[in-house]
Formats: sequence, structure tokens, C-alpha cells
Amino acid sequence: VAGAAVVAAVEEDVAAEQPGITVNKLGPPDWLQRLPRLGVGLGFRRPLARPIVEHAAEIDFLEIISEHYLGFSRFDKRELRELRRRFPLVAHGLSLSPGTLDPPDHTYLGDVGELVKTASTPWWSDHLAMTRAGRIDIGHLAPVPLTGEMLGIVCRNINQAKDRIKCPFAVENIAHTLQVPGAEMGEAEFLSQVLEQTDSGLLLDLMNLHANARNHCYDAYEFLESIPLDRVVQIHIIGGHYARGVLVDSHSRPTPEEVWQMLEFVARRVDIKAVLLEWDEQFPEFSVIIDQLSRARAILAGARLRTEVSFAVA
Amino acid sequence: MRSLEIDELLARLYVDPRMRSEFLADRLSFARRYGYEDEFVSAIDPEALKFFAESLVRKRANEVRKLIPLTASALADDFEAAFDRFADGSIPSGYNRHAADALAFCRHVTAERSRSFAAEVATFDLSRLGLKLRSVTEAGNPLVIRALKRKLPVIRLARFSGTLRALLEGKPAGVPGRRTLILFLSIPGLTGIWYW
Repeated sequence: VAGAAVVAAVEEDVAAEQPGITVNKLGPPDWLQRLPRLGVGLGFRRPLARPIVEHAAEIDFLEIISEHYLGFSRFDKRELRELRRRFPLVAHGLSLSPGTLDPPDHTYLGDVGELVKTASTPWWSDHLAMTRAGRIDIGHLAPVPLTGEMLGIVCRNINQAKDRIKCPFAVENIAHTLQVPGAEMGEAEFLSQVLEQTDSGLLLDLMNLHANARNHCYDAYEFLESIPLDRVVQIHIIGGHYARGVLVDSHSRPTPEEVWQMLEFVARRVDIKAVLLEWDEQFPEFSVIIDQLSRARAILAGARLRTEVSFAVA
Repeated sequence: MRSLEIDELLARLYVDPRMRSEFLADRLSFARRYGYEDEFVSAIDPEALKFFAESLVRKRANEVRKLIPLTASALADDFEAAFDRFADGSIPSGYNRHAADALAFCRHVTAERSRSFAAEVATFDLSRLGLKLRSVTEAGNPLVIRALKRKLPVIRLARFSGTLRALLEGKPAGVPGRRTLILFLSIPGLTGIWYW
């Protein structure tokens, strides 16, 4: 208790001296603090396989799409083994669909659980979305209704998944152009409740947040101030494009300045375990990708240095 | 409206072009016809719905393009329009939905453009993808297509034009090639394509 009082006093002094830095008084859960710091990584996409291997020294980790390795063909097993040999891996899924009324598919959870063990991922992630409703397969991530009833369903589904897959889990915020009518709460509050009620980490996709803020006219920083940033495990960065006046999260352009600034904002406040560049389409020269990774690394390093200096001064 | 009704209504509007057209034409009539609350249905932004539905088709097209690059190349600038025509009449489902889409799209191209080079290439891609997967439609809903793993071996011999051979060998367009015989084989322990 005495130790906690000292820490609290130091935190208040730091906040007073450095008003630009917000020190989170609650702190992340213990399991999150124990997660390894992976650094700055890249989403593994097969067209990039060769340059990824050639530039392995400049890539700290890879994020694999879980669905690409379910079913485990001989080729998949070999590829996974090679990737695991060269890089730390995290698994990122597309099909959990916690916003679906039916519980998560039992076979799917079993396959993802096996993948997570085989790939030795320190955490796995999926999206706060629905990809199917009943027997209707939407084919991609759709927003969930922001109601109390849906909150209960989402939390139930995530908790079932976590009970089955014994590995820390992070949930990602999605981009959406359609706002589902009948909302009983805002997106920040819904997300915060999901994180707290399921004790999950947050995979904070800053491009998705930027796109939503632009398309639905709200302040992205107000959103960031309203969610438990101490639950951030991983960050996604990338750029999109405008189509018919709408900012689309196409994962096909360099990270825009607004997203870099948000990364700095978050990095100054929490110890981010991993930042991932999620390039999916229209791949550039690999040097462009390396430059993006370098910039992310510099932001993380700068934020950590500032935090260490602040505490040293205090 | 309860979450179940909201989820299913939205999912149908996202993927079913006929239902979406009905909704966009007259939202109140749509609500009354299907028994949904007027207030909820009226509050769905039609432009946002159209944009999202169209983005789902674009994502489908991008994934299919990756699976059948030769057919996409043969269709060239016509790929997007051809896929839009096809997408209106199909809803892929399941973990292999992109493969289901690609298989069904190849069939669509062979039917729509029979005797054309694009149809020939689509036939090749259909045979290639079909070594491991077969497509099925859902009982009671022919719009829904799935790709299932094949359990039986595949042995197929087919003759193709010299133009396809040139494409396979990466030769420039217009360079004539010999008519070619292609063996598509998938048996336990051995899967591949050979041509002469």
C-alpha cells in the first residue's frame, strides 16, 4: 500500500510537470503487462514472402491471417514452420464474428487454438464485428448494433472463445461506413465495456479510427480519451483512399500523417507491445514498407525515451 | 427490434441485391412487407448501405482476381463488369468462400462468353481450382455457393489452344503456340498439371 502511494505521488508530480503526458493511474492488467514487446512488424502476405525474408533483420515480427492456415495443408504447415523459424508470429482472425447471435463455431475455435499453439503466438486477435447472421454469410466485417443486448452477446461469444483458446486475446475496432440505427450507446463506450467485461486486450486500428472519425464527423482524440488505452496490446497502421467522398480503409496506401500523429499520442501514454503495418493491396516497392516500419520504430523509441526521462526527472 | 432481427435484416440487405433493390425503392413498403419496424428501417442510411454492399462486391472481386489471375488477365478491363454481373446472382459462403466465388465465376465466364479466349482460360482455371475443391449450391437457396474439399481423385485430360499455351509459358500476346494437351491430376500423394 505504501509503495502504491509513492507511485501515485510520482505520477501526479509527472503529470503536473509534463501536462502533455497523461499517466494512466489504473494500469494494464497483469496478464497484459507480462506480454512480450514484439516491436514493429508486418502483415504476412504471400506476394511479399521473398522481400520479407530478405529484409528479416528490419522486421521484428509477422502477423498471420488465421484463416490462411486453418485445415493445415502440407504447404501451410511448411510455410508456418518456416515463418516461425524466422520471426515471432501473432495470429489475426477474420471469422470469430462475436456480433453474431449464434455462439462461435466450435470447429473454427479448435482450429484457431491449434494454430495459436503451433505458431507459439503470445496473443491472438479478431474483430468487434459480425461476418454472418444465421445462415447468411456477409463475407466481410460489418458493424454490430450498439445496444445493451448486443453487448451481452458479444461478451458471451468472446468469453466462450477465450475459454476454448487458452491464449491472451485482443479485439480490434473496425472501420464502417454504415451506422446501425437504434444505438443505445456510443462506439467508445461499447468497446470499453467489451474490453472490461471480457478482460481482453485491444488491437487498436488507428486507420480504422481515422476513417470512422472522418466519415462520421467526430474527434478521434476524444474517442482515444474515452477508451481504456491501458488495454492496448497492438496497434495497426496503414493508409486508405477516398472513394465518392468516403475514406475507405483499403490497406493499400502509405500511412497518413493523421495516423502517425495518433500513434505518437498513444505511444506517449501506454507501453505498446506491437505495432503492425497492415498492407494488403497494391504493394509498393519494399523500401517504402521498410521506411514505414522505421518511422513506427522511431515513434515508439521516442515515446519510451520521453517516458523514461520524465520519471528520471521526477 | 431485437438483435436477431436487426442482424438478419442487415445481413440480407448487405448481400442480397434483390432485397436491397426493394428496400431502396420504397423503405416503408419493404418494412411492412417483411414485418420490420418502420422506424428502424427508415433510419438505415440508403447511400451508406449501397456503398457498403458495393464494397463487399469489390472485396470479392479482388480475392477472386488473386485466385484466377489468368482469367482476370484474359478478361482485362472487362473483369470488373463481368464480375458485377456475376455477383448479382450469387452469395459465397463458408471458409472457402473466395474459392467458391472463383469456381462459380469461371463457370459464369464460360457460359457468358462461350468460344472466346476468356472462356477457354476460365475453363482452364476451373479445372485447376477444381483439382482440390468442388462447388455446391445450398439446398433451397441456389444463390448461396460453397466450396468443399474433394474426397475423390481427379483425372482430367483436355485440349486447349496454342494461345493458352503461350499464356501459360508467359509469352507475349499474339505469339502463336501449339495446341496443347493438359492433364489435371489429383490422386493421393500427387497433385499437379502437366501439358504437352
